[in-house]
Amino acid sequence: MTILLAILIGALWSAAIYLLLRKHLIRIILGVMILGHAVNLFVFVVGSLPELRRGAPALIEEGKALTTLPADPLPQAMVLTAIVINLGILAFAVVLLRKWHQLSKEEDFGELRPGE
Amino acid sequence: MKSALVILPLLVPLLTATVALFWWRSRRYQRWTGLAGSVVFLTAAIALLLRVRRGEVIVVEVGGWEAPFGIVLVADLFAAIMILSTALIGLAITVYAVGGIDCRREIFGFHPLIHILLAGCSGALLTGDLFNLYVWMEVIMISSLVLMTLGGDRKQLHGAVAYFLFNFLASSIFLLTVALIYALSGTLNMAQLSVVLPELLREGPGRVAPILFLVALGTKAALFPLFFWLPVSYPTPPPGIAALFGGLVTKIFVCVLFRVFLIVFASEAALMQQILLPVSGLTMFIGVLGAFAHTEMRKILSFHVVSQIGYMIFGLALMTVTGLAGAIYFIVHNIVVKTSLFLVAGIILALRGTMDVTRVGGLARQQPMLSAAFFISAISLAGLPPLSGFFGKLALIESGLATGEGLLIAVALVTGLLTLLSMMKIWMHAFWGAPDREEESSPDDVVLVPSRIVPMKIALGGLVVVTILMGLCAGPLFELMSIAAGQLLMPETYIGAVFP
Repeated sequence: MTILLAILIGALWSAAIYLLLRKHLIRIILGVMILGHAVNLFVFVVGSLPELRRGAPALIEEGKALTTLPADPLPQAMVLTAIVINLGILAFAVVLLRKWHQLSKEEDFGELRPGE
Repeated sequence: MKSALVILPLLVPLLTATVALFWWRSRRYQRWTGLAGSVVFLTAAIALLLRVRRGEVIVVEVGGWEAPFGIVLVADLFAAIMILSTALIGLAITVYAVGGIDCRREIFGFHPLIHILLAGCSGALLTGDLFNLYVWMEVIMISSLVLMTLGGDRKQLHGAVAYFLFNFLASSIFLLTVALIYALSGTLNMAQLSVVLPELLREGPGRVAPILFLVALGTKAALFPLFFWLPVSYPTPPPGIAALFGGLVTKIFVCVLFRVFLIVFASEAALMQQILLPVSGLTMFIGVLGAFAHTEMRKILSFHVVSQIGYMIFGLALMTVTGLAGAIYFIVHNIVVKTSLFLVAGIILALRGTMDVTRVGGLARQQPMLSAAFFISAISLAGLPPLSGFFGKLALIESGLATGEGLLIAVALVTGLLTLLSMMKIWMHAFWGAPDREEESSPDDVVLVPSRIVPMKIALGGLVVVTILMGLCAGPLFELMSIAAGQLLMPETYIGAVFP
């Protein structure tokens, strides 16, 4: 399972880098988002490595005893924070895209031109 | 009382930003709030520095949770010195902005953003937890992104895309490496990592971690070969905002680099030295070469930013107390001088409507005080005595000679010469000579009325006074920096304060 997630993270990274190298602004923003997801997934996997605490519950029900080690809460907190940060960045990127659209002609909407 | 001193540099700018947001509709109240907040921030920073100047390290456990389970804020002397520089620049930019920022930008949250950026810088300097460092770095990044695009000119959007792309990539690599380090060691506390990482970094994925950090922080701190986004993006915003970037933000990331590689990766000193020494030389040299290719002041100054960072990394790579003390002194000197040079560019823009030095002339005759300010800042940057740049470079070169880095010393000296040449080029075109008669037709809406230029000149004058004082008091300042350098190079004090 971890191997599958690792391959997935690699695939997401490749897709993100491919998109980041495009010339259209909206594809760059998509690349940024996929990269954010890939890194968040990596952090999440770190928290559930087989030798640590795989599949364990995060919260313990009242009255029940602990049979296994509980799931590690710290990577989950890290992922939550990272998701929120990426959301803020996405909001900024979308407004950037919109402003670019406003300032440029209709045909080259979003397309990046070389030079200043 | 001790913990209040550590919390204030975070709290004051955030509160100022919040109050300024309440006055969204009134530029005047925002301005006053910003000024008051900057003065209080400066006072808090001075108080913190006075408290830790003998070498004491103050630790605050946020929420009462003990390290390593909670986040700690660690105020060592290095952090205090840098927070003072941050506060100083915050005040200078806020004073400058009274006249130098057009109302279109001011109305859209310029003042709150500045203070959020300052809070982010303080946070990045004070934190003792790797993930918290990531969060503060993102605060800096997002607020600087908005500042960079404030006003919405087309060039600004171009610059912002480059800035956004590479800084986001760098942040993602940083987060990835933080997760990797957590997987290896089970902790995010910098002091604890300093203790447990040495064995863990020997095999497998651990060997990649320091290099990944170097790539991520190197992009943000504009090291060779990762600095290419800087000259594309820093020249685009107006000079008041560009001053904040070129003068402060990049240097804060250099400080973060210092912190990470001296405290967390203390065991990897040899590897870092191997990599950072050539990188610093190349950064110095290529940065200053780039400055010769341009005639617009912001572009020239952006390349100089890159070049001066090479000097700071050179001091880091030497890994000696004098080298590091020289680097810290150089960082503070550079923060002040670079900001003042950008502010000079802003005043030239206000007076003549352009920042292209070939189209400006004769300012020395018309604006003697401005010319004196530029001249002092320029030769301080180039490293001539008795100003601060000379002492910073002297310390770096002396410790370089002591460790036997002959080639890099030569590169540093040649770069200093080229920096001087570049500054003289600006001087010859813009300040010397007769004013160009034909260029009097500057666009009216850019040239400002004299009353608005006065606060800009006050800000510039303040910074020039600081750089002169830094040069005059170089001796005592050096002793202070040496204590800070000692704390960084021998992390036992740091670790001992976090885990008593």
